[in-house]
Amino acid sequence: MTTYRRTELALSFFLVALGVATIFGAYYTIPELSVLRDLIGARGFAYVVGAFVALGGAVLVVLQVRALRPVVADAADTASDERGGDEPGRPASAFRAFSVIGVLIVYAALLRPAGYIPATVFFVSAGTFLMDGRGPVRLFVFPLLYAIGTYLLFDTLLGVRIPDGVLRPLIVAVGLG
Amino acid sequence: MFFDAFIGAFEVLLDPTVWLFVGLGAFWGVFIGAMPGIGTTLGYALLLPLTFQLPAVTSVAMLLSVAVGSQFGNSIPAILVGVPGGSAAVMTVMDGYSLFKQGKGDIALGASYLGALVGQVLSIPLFVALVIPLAQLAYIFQAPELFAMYTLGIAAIVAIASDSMVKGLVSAALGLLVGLIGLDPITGVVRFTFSVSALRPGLDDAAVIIGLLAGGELLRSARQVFQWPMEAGGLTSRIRLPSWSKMGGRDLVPPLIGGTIIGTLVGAIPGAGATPAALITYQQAKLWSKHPEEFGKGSVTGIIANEAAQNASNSGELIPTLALGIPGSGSMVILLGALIAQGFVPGPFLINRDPQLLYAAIAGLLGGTILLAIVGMRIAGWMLRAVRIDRSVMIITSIAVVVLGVYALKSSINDVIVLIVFSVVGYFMYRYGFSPAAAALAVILSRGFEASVRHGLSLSQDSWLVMLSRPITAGLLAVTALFLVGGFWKQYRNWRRSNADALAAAGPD
Repeated sequence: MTTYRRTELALSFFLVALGVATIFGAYYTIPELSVLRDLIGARGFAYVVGAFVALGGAVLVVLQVRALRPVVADAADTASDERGGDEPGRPASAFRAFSVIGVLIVYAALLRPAGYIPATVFFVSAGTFLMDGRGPVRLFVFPLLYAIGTYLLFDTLLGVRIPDGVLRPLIVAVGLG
Repeated sequence: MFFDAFIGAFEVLLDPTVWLFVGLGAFWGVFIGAMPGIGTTLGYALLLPLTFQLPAVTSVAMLLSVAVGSQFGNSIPAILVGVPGGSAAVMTVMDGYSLFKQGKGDIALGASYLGALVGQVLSIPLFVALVIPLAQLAYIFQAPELFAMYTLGIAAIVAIASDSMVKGLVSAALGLLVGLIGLDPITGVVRFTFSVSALRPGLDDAAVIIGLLAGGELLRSARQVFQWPMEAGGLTSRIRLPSWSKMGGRDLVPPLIGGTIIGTLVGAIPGAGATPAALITYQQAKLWSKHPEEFGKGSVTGIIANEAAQNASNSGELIPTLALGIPGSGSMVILLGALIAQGFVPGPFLINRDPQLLYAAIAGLLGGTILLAIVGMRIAGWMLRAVRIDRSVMIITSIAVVVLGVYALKSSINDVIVLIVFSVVGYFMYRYGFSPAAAALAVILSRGFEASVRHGLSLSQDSWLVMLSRPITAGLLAVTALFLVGGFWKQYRNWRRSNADALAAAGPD
């Protein structure tokens, strides 16, 4: 059984849990008002959607367990290697994608305190490095030009309020703040 | 009303700013179309930050010109390297790349260009002729009809756009689940906010949609590092349009007309979009052709029909989007997201209340086509160089643009967090065969869907039977059932085929 199929099975179990949690969450946390005539009520739709998610997850669990039969398992393993949207014949790394997600979270955390330009230089530089980009132009010059260019376009030209952060004094000094 | 729509569109095009942004959109469309793996939806998402700062009319016109450019652009790598820029250009690969290898790359590009332009222009009156009466129907729609219409929209996108019906339905349910967060649309009580005040108004639709559709796709693309091979194959960046007779003369008229009509009608089915439109048209063109044996080996009529259908589907997708508020494709979901961010309410009254959106749509399609007609072949030549742009840098900067766009919505870090969360959700959905498009559509429709069913039951004295037996409701639900049965049938057929293949591969033992 490939990692792909193990994850697929785990996701199906997660859906069952999510659906059940939605139903219980609706029952215990949503108050039901009786003053309005409303057959379904504030909880009813959540019950239906939760049940749908749980049932769908359960069906997927059954389908994936059935696919473990020896006759079809090998073919299913082969097929799973070909799914997932990756370009065939080119190596793929989930670790790289999750590393980018990690850098993205740090970017969001830095955006306000550090300011858009330093945070964006960090993100584009670190992200490009994770994507095997090397050299000073890709890792330093381009991220800096990109960050300054988009700042000027959105903040100065289009009037979007972008956080200046630590560069605030410099931005004010050059007459852009 | 038909002619008013065109007069309105011409008035929109009198504004030079609109031309500026339509030009930007069309060029951007060709560029993202030519980059394999970046489709129209992602192209829309990356331009979204800009739309928040523009008037709605300019935004709509610009986004639609992106679609015009994208459907032409995706054929450029299909012809030049045999790699389709998007799934709709798959058939262009077979004929276009064959012609290119025969040293007729200019004829293939010329046919693609001509098909795209003519298909786009001819589909616009067809779209207007269909969208206006459909929008007028909205006046007789009450809550039960709205409920049936939303159900049809969700079922159609699940049935057509999902490989697995179960995963498609679960995706839609997940979208509805997201819509539950925040205030109940009828009673106003809070649901699933976990005492977090930022969740009281619900999650921002645009942040969720961009995360699911664009963020997820970009993170999935980040799994692989490679560069598309690019060879000019003797073509220079100055490509000339071959003469009409050299491409096939009068033989090109039937596939152009056929592709336009089929493309518009198939594009109008929610969830269908350009790919099925192109595939169906290609089969029809082969049936009608005097030389069916050339199809797949370098047929100019095949390319023309395919390209006309792809661009005509842009107009088709707008029919349910503008007339009923049901997005016809992933990119239309983003378009509605842009309108929601501007304060518009998607639904059957959208263009009745705001007809300038219809004028803007026509202006965007028409303006984009006019600009492409002038500089399209020149841009195609530039794309020979543009597709050499570092894919890794492109992915990372695209993620940065998406973050900036969502932040620009309300200058809110919370929206950026929502974006990241739903980008991760989208990543898993893309990877494991779920349908982010169905989930995104359900997010947009969720509150209206729930409100319509609850209002509908009130109108029908709490009787499901009364509510479902209204003529329009019954008709729409019957079509919904057809979509669902068709979707399950398609999946059963695929399952049987793959099981038979597995058994055959396992051998007689």
